[in-house]
Amino acid sequence: MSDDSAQPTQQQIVESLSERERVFLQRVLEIESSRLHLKSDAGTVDALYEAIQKVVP
Amino acid sequence: MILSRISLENFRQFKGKQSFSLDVNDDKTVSLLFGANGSGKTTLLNAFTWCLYGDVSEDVEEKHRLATDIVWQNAVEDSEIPVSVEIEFLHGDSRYRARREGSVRKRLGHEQQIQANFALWRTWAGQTESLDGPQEKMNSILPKRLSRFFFFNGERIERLAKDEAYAEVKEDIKILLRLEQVERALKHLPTLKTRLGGDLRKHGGEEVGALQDEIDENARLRDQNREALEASGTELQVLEREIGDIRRLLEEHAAVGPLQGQLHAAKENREKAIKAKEDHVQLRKVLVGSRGHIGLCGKLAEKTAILAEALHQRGALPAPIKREFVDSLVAEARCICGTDLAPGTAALASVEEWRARAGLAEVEASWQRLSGDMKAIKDARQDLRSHLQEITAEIEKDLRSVSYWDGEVADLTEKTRDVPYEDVVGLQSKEKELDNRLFDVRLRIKGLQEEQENLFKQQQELDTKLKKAQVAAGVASTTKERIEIVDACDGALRQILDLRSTEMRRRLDEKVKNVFSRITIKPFYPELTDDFKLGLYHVGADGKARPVAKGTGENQVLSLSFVAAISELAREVAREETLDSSLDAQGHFPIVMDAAFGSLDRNYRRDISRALVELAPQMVVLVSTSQGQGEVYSELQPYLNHLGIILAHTTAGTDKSQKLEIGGHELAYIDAKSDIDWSELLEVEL
Repeated sequence: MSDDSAQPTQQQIVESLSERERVFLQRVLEIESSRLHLKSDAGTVDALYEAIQKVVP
Repeated sequence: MILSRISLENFRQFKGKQSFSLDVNDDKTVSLLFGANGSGKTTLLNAFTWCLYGDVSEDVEEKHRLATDIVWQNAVEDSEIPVSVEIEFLHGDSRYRARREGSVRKRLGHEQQIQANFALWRTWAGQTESLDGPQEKMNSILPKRLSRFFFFNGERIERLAKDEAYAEVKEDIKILLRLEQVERALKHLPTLKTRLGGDLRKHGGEEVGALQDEIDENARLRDQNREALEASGTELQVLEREIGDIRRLLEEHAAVGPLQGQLHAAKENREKAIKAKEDHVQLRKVLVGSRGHIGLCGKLAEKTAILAEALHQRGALPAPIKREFVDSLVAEARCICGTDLAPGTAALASVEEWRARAGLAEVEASWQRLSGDMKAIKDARQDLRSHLQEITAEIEKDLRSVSYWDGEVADLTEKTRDVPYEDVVGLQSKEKELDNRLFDVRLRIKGLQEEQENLFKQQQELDTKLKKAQVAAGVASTTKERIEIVDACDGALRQILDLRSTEMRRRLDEKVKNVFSRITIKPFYPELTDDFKLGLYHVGADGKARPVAKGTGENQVLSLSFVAAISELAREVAREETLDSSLDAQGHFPIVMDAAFGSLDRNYRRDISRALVELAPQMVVLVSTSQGQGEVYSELQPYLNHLGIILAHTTAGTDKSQKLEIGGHELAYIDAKSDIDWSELLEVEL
C-alpha cells in the first residue's frame, strides 16, 4: 500500500487498534472469509457473538 | 493454491485410474498438454471444477453421464462404477488433497445421477487431518465464484469483458481482493452490536437502557437506508446495462440509421399514393353513381335534336308564325291556293280547322325547351366524359406513384436486409427515457447517501455518550467493553474498505493497461472504471478518448489481460496482507486454460503466452496441435515442467492415426486402431 498520501495506511489503521481489538478484527475477517460462499447470513452473527465473548470473557 | 497432481477414475473419456503431475519447480511453472479435438481437453478442465466445486461447465453435453462410456457399457446390470477426481495442491504452509467421488449404478440400462461426496485433507507439520466442512473450507481457499478467472475455456473467456459480466465480475474481484469479507463484516457488525445492546439494556440500568433504545433506532434506520441504497444500486446497474445495450445498438446501427429514415419515408409515401388512388377511385364511383345515366343516353339527345329540327324544317312542327299566317288568310277570305273563304263555305271550315290545329304557344314552347334540353344533356354528357377522363388520368398517376414507392421500399429493404433490424428512432426515444430514469435514480442515491452520512454521525455521537455512561461492574461493564471493541473494529473496517476499494481499482487498472499494452499492437488502451467496468478506448486525432467497439479478438485479449492482471495483483495483495494470517498465500492461484488462445492469431498467442507465464505462478495449458505448436510452444518451453499428451484411442480406423512432433519427440496423438473409445493421459519426459 502506498503511504505517501494524507490518509492513513491499512497498516496504520490496524496498529491504531488495541491488542484485543486487533484480535477481534482478525477473527471477524476469518469468520467472514470462511462464509463467503454462503448465501444466507444466518449463523454469522452467532459466530461473531461467540468471538467477542472469547475476546472479552 | 498451487496444483501438484490430478488423478481421475472413470471420469468421462478417462477410463480406469489415471494421473498427471502438475507441480512447479522454481521458474518451471508450466504444464502443457496436447490433445486432439474431442480427446478430452475440456473434460480435463471440467475435472478440476467438478472435483473442487461439484460443477461442470455449461458447454459440457450429457452432464449426467460422468462415467466412462465403455466402462458403463461393459458393466453388468446392478453393478456400481466408481467415478472420482482427486486434486493435490499446496496452499499457504499446508498440503491439501481434495477428492470428489461417487459411484454410478447401472440399472435397467440407465445411468443414474451420481451422488458424489467431497472430502478435503490437510497435511501440516507432518500431520494429516480430514477437514470438517470440506466444501466450506475449499471455498475459503478459492471461492467458487472466483474460479472462473483461473479455470477457463479460452473460447468463452471474452465474456469476462462484456458489459453484462461487469456486475458479477465486480463482486468476484471484491472476494479476490479481500473487499467482500470487509463489506460483509460491515453489514454484520451493527447486528452484533444490536444484540450486545440487548444484553446491556438488560443489565445496564435506566440511563443506558434509554441510550440503547436510541442506538437501536439509529441502527434500524441505517439498516432501512442501506437496504434502500442496495435496491437503488441494483436498479442503477440494471438501467445502466439497458442504456449501455441501447447505445451499443445505436452505435452498431449508426450507418443503417439514414437508410432506415429513407425506408420510413418511402413507406409513408407509398401509403399516401395508395390513399390518393383509393380516393380517386371512390370519386369516380360517386360520379358514375350520380351522373352515370347521362353517359348511358348515348346519342339519344343528339338524335332527338336532329329529329326536332327536321320536323321544324318541314313545317311539321307547330310554330307561332303558322297561326298568324292562317289568321291572315281567314281575314282576307282567300286561301293561298286562290279558293274563296267565304263564311259558311267548306273551304273556310277546313282552313279554320287547320288554324285550330296550328297548336298552342305552350306546345311550341315545349318543343323549344326540348331542343334546349337536348343541348344541355349533350353538354352534361360531354362534361361527365371530361371529368371521368381527368379522374382516370389521376388514378393512372396514382398507380405509377404506388409502383414507384413499391420499388423504393423494396430497394431500401434489400439494403437494410443484411443488418439486424433495429428501430433506431424507437431506440433513441428509449435511450432518452432511460436517461431520465437514470438521473432520478442517481438523485435518489445521492439523497440516501447523505441520509446515511447523517445517521452515521448520529450513531457516533450516541456511541460516545454510551462510552461515557457509567455502568456497574459485572455483566454490564463486560458488555459495554465488548460493544466498544465492536465499534472500534467497525470504524477500522470502514476506513480499510475505503482505502482498499480505491487502491485496488487503481492498481488493477494499471496492471490491465500494462499487460494489454504488452500484448496488443493496436493503439487502444483499457480502463477499469470506479465501478469496475472494463472498457477499451482509442484516442482520436482530436486528442479525445472514445470507446472502441470490441470484436471477439479484442474481448479475448482484454479478458486474458484482465486475468493476468488479477493473478498478479492477487499475489501482491497476499504478500502485503498481514491482517488475516489464516489466508496466507491465498493470492497464489494457478491458471488452467482449455483452448487457451481461442481464435487469436499467431502474434497474439505468442504475446499472451509470454505475458501469462510471467504473471501467473502456475499455468496448466490444454491445447490442440494447431494452437499449441510453434510460437506458443517456443514461448512456454523454457518454463515447462510437465509436457503431456491426451492420447485419443478411437475406433475410427487406421488412416486416422496421427503423431505429433514436438521438442524433438514424435508422439502418438491419435490412436485410431483401438477397439474402444477412450482417452489416456501420458506424461512426456522432457
